[in-house]
Amino acid sequence: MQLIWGSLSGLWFLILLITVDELLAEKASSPVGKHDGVFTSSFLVRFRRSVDNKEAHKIAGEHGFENLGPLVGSNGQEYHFKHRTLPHARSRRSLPHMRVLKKNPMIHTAIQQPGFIRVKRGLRPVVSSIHGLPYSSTKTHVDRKGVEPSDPYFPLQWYLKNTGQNGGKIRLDLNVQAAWDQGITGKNVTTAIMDDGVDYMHPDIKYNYNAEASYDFSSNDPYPYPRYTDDWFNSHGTRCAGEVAAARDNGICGVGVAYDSKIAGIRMLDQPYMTDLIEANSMGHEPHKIHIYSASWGPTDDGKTVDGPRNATMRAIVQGVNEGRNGLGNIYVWASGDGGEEDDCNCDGYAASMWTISINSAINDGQNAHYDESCSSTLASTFSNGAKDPNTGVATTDLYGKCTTTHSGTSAAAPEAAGVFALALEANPILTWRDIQHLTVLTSKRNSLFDAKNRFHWTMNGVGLEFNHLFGFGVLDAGSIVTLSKQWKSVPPRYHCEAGSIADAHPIVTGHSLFLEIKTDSCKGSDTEVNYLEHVQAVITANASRRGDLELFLTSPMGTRSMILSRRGNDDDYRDGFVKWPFMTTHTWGEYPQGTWKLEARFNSHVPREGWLIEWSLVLHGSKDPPYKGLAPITPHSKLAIVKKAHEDKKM
Amino acid sequence: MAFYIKFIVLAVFIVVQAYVGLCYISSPSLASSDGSSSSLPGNDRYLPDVFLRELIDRMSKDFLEPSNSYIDPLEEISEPGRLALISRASKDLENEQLDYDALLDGDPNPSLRDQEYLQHSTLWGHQYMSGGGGELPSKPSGKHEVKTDAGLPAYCNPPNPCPVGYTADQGCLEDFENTAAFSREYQTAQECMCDGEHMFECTNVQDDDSETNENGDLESFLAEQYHAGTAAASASSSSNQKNLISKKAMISSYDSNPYLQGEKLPIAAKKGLNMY
Repeated sequence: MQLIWGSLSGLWFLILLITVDELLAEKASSPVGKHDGVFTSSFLVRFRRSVDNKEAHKIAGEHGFENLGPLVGSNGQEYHFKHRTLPHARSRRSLPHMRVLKKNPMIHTAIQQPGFIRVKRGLRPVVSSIHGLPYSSTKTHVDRKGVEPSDPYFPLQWYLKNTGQNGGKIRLDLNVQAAWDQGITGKNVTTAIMDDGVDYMHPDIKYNYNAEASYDFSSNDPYPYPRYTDDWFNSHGTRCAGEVAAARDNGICGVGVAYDSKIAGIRMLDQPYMTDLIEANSMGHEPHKIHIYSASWGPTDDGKTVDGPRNATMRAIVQGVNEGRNGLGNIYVWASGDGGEEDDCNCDGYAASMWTISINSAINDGQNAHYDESCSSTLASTFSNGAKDPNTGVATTDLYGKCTTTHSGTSAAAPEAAGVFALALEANPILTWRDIQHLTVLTSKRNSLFDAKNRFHWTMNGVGLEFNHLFGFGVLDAGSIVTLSKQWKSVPPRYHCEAGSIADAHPIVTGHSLFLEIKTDSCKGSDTEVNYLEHVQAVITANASRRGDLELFLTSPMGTRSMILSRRGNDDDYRDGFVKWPFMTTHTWGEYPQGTWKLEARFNSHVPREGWLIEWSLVLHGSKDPPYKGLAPITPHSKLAIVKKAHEDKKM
Repeated sequence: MAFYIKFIVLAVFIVVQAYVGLCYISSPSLASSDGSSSSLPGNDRYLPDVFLRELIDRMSKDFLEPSNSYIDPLEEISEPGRLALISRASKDLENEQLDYDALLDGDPNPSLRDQEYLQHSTLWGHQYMSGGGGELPSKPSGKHEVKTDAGLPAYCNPPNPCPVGYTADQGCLEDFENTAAFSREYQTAQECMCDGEHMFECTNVQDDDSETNENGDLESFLAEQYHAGTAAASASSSSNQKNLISKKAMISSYDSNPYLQGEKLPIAAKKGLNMY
């Protein structure tokens, strides 16, 4: 019996091996398989008119589907159906299933959803978790001004207060004490952690948990408690949650940046496949109850992926920004990525989006972390691990009521930023999503951040704002952002100007830079006139015999040069190139856009490469009127004072 | 006979080695023995990518539809969808949505989406390998088992403890203990896909109960060992290596290839019907 069993399993393995060999051979002969991809059992169904959920249920039932509810922002026209017996994953679309749905006269289209993968950022080898203390104390309201939290892990939270512990740089921190001392602790603000769940029973989190804004999309119920695995893989969301809103002075773990704010859990990363629908529903979940969405995941950081939000997700973000928070706009905070210097986060459509605030990380002595992925769309930075001393990770809550000192990656950076924004929103609850970005630009500090490899230097843009390709406008400063939020006047309306485009193809060859120019009056005199820049997008179609060797630079009329695409050593694509890909830069923030914009394309390679720049369109986003007109700078040397003066000196 | 046994042993050995190697490539996360996983950039996900698709292909074969009703995505189609990334929220998105729909209305070939997807097919990492797709109990449950591929199960559902202020009436679990052991037990009771990437081993629930228990015990023992180990000492790469091999070897010693087992229950049996 034993023998038969052995030989049987041996056979299976042989078959397996042969299969793999076959496949390898097949793959080798055709670099891109003819049916790459996996389709899920989810369908996006679009009705010819709006239907209510009940009606949709009925129709779904008639065809053997289950209705999972309407799509955010579709006005009842689009629903998420799941087929009851289709497998979770298959390699081809099932046309019959789509046909069955489309036969129904009510249904306009039905599209089976492809699955794709999203990875958590910064789950790196960690040392050990340390057991938390039992929950014993209760909250007391005392005057805490100038008093440090008594939580046992607070001394380890160097990113909150850097006293030079573990070789760090004194005062290189988020300056949260200065915000807390103003009585601002995040009250009435909810941050959603879009991740693998949140241990909302954790004694350091449970009283700051916003259950009614939470949801579990991975198992479709309202309780996003993490799924157990032997390696405790699903601790990511819990760790992020603690950074934002772990309670203060309760004797457990550390303290959150906004320790009186609320956390909502959105469990959406923990199923075999990700779909557009899960992402869309997560990012549009309870947009009036949730103020800030924090995401520490995205496309694979392998340095060769170019991917971003799909249709429904993109629409959910846009809707969140336009209509969320009762019209003020949701704040989406994004980890810029852990791909290291070989990757460029402008190839990650989530981080590169104008509607997300992409956050990079620095370590405790001011260097960039070795895994940091840089790009011109990064707005600011916070802190994470990376120093030689393993105890310089991010101390926060961990699964099953425990604590950790080793949360890591840009994953750990994004929630810190979310916490700082929660403080700003308590200080001034009517800040819009754009106000938050302006405040971030104006209050982030260069401090002592520097590029360990001395590649990227701090540079002043045309209106006197210092930026660095790695860190954006610097490290967030909670004290300053709260102070400025309190006196903030909302920025004037935003316009989008299509400044021009070049649509004839130009060859790019090794050894010679290709320069293209667009001269623009930035829509002067039209109703989309932009005079003061926020985001700038260069939408580019290009290909190359090796995509990873292509570098792109955009220079503004005021002379600010942004590297909008850096060399990506691992990207060996030679077929797809970039198709209307929006490379975004924040470096020209506050500048005047009129004049000549220069695009430089070149190969960074010793081996001869060739390519084509097929199309370049320039899109300018910003306001017509000076954005800081109504503000009175507190000190003459503040960034606000400098930009404001620059704007006043230039008469439009 | 002796020769035969020798041959088998050799074959099994070689294949196990290959399998271990494969798993090593495909799930780098297992190489970290520290309570979390590394998602190192630049890992080669190429091999399992191919593997994944082909497996799903094969499992789809005996599905009810004729295979010629599938349409293979075209390769060389441009991507107007990307335009949606440029601001102009509603306007552009609406246009883009129309394009998207037009594809399915006019031309039944859904190539635009596929192209977008195709372009990113390298994304297909080791998830499938990890999933252990066919890992299903074949325990007689009185239900009629249909032989189709319609049963790729989901991962287990975690428990849903009641948040502060909630009661069991709202569908959550009041009687709850916030420990790893509790969650593990809770999930072990479910019929679901084993997450081979993050569980130390994926045992098949066999008809034989004693074996199940044995495996379960072994599993919890391993988990305890593992956490004790990580708490005690910092992870060194050599111990990672050891850990990895022992885990994989364990699997291959009494598990047949889960993908080839065949009998699967319909999804509805796994979805949402789990206990409160």
